[in-house]
Amino acid sequence: MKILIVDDEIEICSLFKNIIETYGHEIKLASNGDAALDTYRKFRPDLVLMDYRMPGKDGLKTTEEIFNYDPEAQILFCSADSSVKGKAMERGAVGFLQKPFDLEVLIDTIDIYEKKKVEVKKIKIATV
Amino acid sequence: MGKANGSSKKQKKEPDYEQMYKKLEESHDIYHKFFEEVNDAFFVSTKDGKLVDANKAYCELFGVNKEEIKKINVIETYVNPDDRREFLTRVERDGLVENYPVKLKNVNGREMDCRITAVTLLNKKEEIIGYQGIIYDVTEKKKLQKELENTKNDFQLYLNILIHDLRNFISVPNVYTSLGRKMVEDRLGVYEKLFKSGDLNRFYKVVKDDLKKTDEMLVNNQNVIKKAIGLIENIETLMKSQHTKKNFTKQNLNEILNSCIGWIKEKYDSNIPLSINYSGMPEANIMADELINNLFTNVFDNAIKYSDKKRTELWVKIEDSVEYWGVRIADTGSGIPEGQRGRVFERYERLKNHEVSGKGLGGVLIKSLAERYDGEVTIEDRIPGDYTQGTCFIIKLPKYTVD
Repeated sequence: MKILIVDDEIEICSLFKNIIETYGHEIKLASNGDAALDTYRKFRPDLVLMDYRMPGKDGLKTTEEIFNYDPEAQILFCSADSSVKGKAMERGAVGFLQKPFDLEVLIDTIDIYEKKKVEVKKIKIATV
Repeated sequence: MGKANGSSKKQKKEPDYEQMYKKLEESHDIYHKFFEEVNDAFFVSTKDGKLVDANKAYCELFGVNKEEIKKINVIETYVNPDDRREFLTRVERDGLVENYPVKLKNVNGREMDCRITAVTLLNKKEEIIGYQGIIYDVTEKKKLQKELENTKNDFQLYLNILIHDLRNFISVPNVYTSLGRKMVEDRLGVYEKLFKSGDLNRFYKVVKDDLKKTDEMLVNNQNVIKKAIGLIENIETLMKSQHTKKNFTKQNLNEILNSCIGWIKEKYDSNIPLSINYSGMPEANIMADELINNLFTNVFDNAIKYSDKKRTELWVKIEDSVEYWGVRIADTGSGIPEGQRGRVFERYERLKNHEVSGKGLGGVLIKSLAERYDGEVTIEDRIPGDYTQGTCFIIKLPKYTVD
C-alpha cells in the first residue's frame, strides 16, 4: 500500500516511516499542506495520514484541497488535538488516530485500511 | 362605682412636639453624617440635572469642591449623553434603578466606569421632581477583572499548547519503547539460532543492523525529549514574562550580553562552528530582572537554528539611540522575506486560534520579553535589500535614568 505521511514534526514522520515500512508499505513524507498536495498528485497514495496543526495550511484545509483534487482520497487524521475529530470526519476523513498512540493501534489501523483497500479492489473488479 | 371624673373615654394625650422635633433633628444629623462620611458618592439632583446636594465622596470622585456642586449639571458628567437618557427612562418607569452601568467623567475629563443606583424624588402630587442615588466607581475593579480574564486566557492557552505538544512528543518514545521490547523478545531467538549455526559473520551483521536501528530509535526519543524540555522552558519563561511582578534593578547591558554570548558558545560550540563578533558599550545600563538573559539567548538560539549548519556567524552590537539602547543581532541564516517578518511575532494570535503548536513560540517569547522591559523588537535584512544574506534583530530597550 502507498501511504503519504503529512506531519511537521520530523520525529513523528520518522516514526511512521520506520514502523510502516517494516510492514512492506511504500512511504512518502510531507511537512506542510502545500508539500502534501504536491506529493499527493505525484505519488497517488492509497492512504494519507494527516496531522492537524501545521505551519501554513492546517490539516483540515489540506484535506479539503486533496478532496478537491481527488474526491476518492482516503485520509486518516492523526492528531494530538481530539477536538478536531468532528470537523475532520465532517470533511470526509475515514478515521481519527489520537496521539499519543500505541504501536499495536498503529499497526492495526494500517492493517484495517489495507484490508479495506483489498475489499474495494475486489468490488471494483466484480463491478467491471 | 363610677369612674373618676365620670368619663369612660381615654383622655387624648397632647403630642410631645418638642421631643419629636428633637428626634427628627437627631435623625437628620445621623442621616447627614452618614451621607457625608460614607465612601460611596451620594447625590441629589433636579429633574433637569442640576445638582442639589452631594457628599464628600462625590466631590472627590468628580474632582470638585463642596461649594462648586450647585454649579454642576450631572448631564455634563456623562461620557455618552444617550446613557443618561436611557437611565432616566428606566428610573422613571420603575422608580428605582440598581447598578446601572455607565461611563462618567470627572472635571479633568478622566473617564470612569461607574454603576448608579438611584430612585425618583416625588412631590405631593406624585410628580417626579428629581433623583437621588449612589455612584460606585468600578474602574479599578473592571481593570482587575480584565487582567484576571487575560491571565486566565493565557494560562488556558499555555495548557492547551502543553497538552497538545506533549501528546505529540510522547507518541515517539511510546511506540519506540514497545517496538524495542518486541525486538528483544523476537531477536533473542534469532541471535541464538545464528550463534549456534557458527555463522559469526552473519551473526555480527544482524546484531550490528539491530543496534543501528535501536540507536536511531534512541536518537529520535532523545530529540523529542529535548523538544519537550525546550517547550516547558519556553512556556515557563513566557508565563514569567507576562505574569510575574516587575522587580527591576539597574543592570549593565554589556555584562548581560557578554554572559549570554558565553552561554550560547558553550551550548553550541562543540556541535556547530560558531563565531560571534561583539561590539559593546560599557556604559549601557537598563532596568531589568533576570529574565532579560532569556530575551537575548532566545534571539541567539533562533539565529543559530536558522543558520547554515556548517558555519554560523553572528554580529552583536550595542548602539546609542537617544532614549534607548539598541542591540543589533545579525546572522548568516536563510533570512526572512519582508512580508513574513510580522508573522514571526504575530504567532500569538495564531496560537490563540489553536492553529499552530508550541513550535512558533520563539518569536512570541522574544516580543513578550522585550515588552516586559517597555522595549520593542524589529527585524531588518543583515544586508539591506537582500534578505537571503541573513536577518538582523533589533531590540530597543529604554536607557536607565536616575529618575
